[in-house]
Amino acid sequence: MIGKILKIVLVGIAVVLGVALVLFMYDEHIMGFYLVFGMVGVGLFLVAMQILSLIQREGQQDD
Amino acid sequence: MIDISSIANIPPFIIYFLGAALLPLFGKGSARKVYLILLAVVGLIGVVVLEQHVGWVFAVLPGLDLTFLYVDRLSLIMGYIFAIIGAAAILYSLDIVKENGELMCGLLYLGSAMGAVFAGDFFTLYIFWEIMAFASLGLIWYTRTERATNAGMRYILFHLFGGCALLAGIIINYMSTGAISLVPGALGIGHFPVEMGIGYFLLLIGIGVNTAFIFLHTWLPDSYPKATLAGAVFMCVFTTKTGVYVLARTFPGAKLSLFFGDGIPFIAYIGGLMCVYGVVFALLQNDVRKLLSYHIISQVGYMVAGVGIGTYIGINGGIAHVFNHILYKALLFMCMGAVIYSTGRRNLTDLGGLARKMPVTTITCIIAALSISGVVGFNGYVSKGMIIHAAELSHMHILALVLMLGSIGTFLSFLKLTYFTFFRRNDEIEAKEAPIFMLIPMCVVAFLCVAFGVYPKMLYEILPYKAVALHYDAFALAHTVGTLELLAMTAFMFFAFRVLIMPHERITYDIDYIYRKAGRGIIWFCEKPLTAFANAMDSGVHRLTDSAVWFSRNPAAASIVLITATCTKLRNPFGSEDNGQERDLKEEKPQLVDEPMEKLSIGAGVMIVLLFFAIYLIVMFIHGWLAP
Repeated sequence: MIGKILKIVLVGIAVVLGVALVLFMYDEHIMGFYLVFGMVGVGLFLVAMQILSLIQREGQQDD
Repeated sequence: MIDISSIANIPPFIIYFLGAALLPLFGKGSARKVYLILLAVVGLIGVVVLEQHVGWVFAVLPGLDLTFLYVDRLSLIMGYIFAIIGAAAILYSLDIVKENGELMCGLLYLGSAMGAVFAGDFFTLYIFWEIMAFASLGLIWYTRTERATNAGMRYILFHLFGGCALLAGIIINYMSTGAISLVPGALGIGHFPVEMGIGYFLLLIGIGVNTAFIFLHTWLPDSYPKATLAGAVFMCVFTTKTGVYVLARTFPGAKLSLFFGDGIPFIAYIGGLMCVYGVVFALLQNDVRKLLSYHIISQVGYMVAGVGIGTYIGINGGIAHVFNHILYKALLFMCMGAVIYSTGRRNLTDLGGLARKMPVTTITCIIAALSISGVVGFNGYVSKGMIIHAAELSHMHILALVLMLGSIGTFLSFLKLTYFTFFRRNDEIEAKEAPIFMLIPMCVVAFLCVAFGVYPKMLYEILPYKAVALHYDAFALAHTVGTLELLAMTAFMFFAFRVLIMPHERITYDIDYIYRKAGRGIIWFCEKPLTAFANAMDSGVHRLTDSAVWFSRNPAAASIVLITATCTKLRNPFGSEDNGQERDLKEEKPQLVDEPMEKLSIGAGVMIVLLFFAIYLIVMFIHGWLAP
């Protein structure tokens, strides 16, 4: 569990740096912005999924 | 030749309500199919011939009219898309719906949604709003499972809460502003006066329940996956979109003043939150229809953001997205309905390998997935781009980025859905293509998704602000290339990190976990402490009445017993209750009271009554004398 949280924190830091880069690129209109944003966006969703998986439990997804 | 444009304006809800009422007369065979196809066509014609006007006004109270038909550009575009997808849903139901009751619920739902968007005042809107809630409940309960029954109960509880909030908001706002009519006159769409206060927030909550604002959204992913296959196609269209329509009428560009500045367009940011929240939860789902349900929240987020921005292009974008979303979302529910119908499976972990076995369903599902993801050449691209462009023009750059992030998540999610449903290897699965009456509407709607994506001018022509829409260039080079870059990188990342996005049989907790816990807490509170308190009160009242009965049997003796008991207690306040004197008193208590009372003669009784009457008169005389 602690290892998983550490992994999420590390990836989270990377994603935050990525977001900062995206905001900088968006502000400066640098070429390749959309490629970086796509990569960072997917990273954000993967981190969010990993965080939410901590409060999931095994079972059929019914109720 | 009949000139259909000369037919008088008839509120479209009448067609569908009448259609539902007459349906049982046609049995369950071919006659019913023919009747339903005719009804779908008549419904379409009924909307197409409508002209911009206000009619069907009934005075119910002095100064209060109910307007059953108000047609302007906003209500008309909603009517068009409701009629198109209503016809598609009716066709889709022909082979798979056996019970007339379910079809009647679908028709009533469609009719009431039509009634709501063509209502000319808030009370009429409210009437149809409530009919929608109950008609759609039938579409959940016709699944006839315990899960569906429970989900239906939660669904209707949520909508009754929303309905009550809406009605209270309407009344409070009417009391303060006198505004009830939705007819904006020369002012244009969205100039309904709403005064800041409790009425404002109740209206917003009432609309927010149907629009699935975050914290008010849990009824949606809870109930839609449990509706019948055809019912889900109806349900994914009307409730949330009617909410967006009412939002566009009442709160376009609404701002909330905080401690400083002009106020923030909070509705737009609520939309941004919905957009990302829905996508994140969709990515975690295993049930295909639950995944689609979370995407409704996300896509409605775009519409809410467009309306919340409040500029002409923002409202155009929001309403264009309503139109496009209804097309591809209904198509997605139809495709997944076809998959469940053919395989009997609804979880991504159980599906796969259907591309060869169900080619038409696969192709139409891919078209819908590309449309919802906003790929160039499909209808979602046009309206999403319009909303993001509106956000950038209004200098809401964070919102624009959030909406683009939603696009990434949406594409990721639909890559997951299509890959794990149709392309992942699964040799065990057995399936055959869906019946023809399911495939026809799927193909027609898929064609419309492409047609409006390739030639968006058709859509611009019917948007509320046509002139503004015609100036929007959906295929501007920078925007097109940027979108393609974004989606290409998302696709690359999906295949690179596919293992992390694999579906799992897991239960994901949403905010409804808190509601359900709180609900169980309330039930426990009612069953335990509240019941104990009620029992204590009950026994207390019984003791009081017993004492009164005991006292009234012989007031003189009872008074003596009470006085003696009080004096004994006062003499020895800390003494044991079992001392001799008190024990004697307890033994004497029933005996003394049971002794016969001393009786007075009638004359003495009359004397006492007269004495009290004389005292009363003297008091009254003095009171009158002293009074100024």
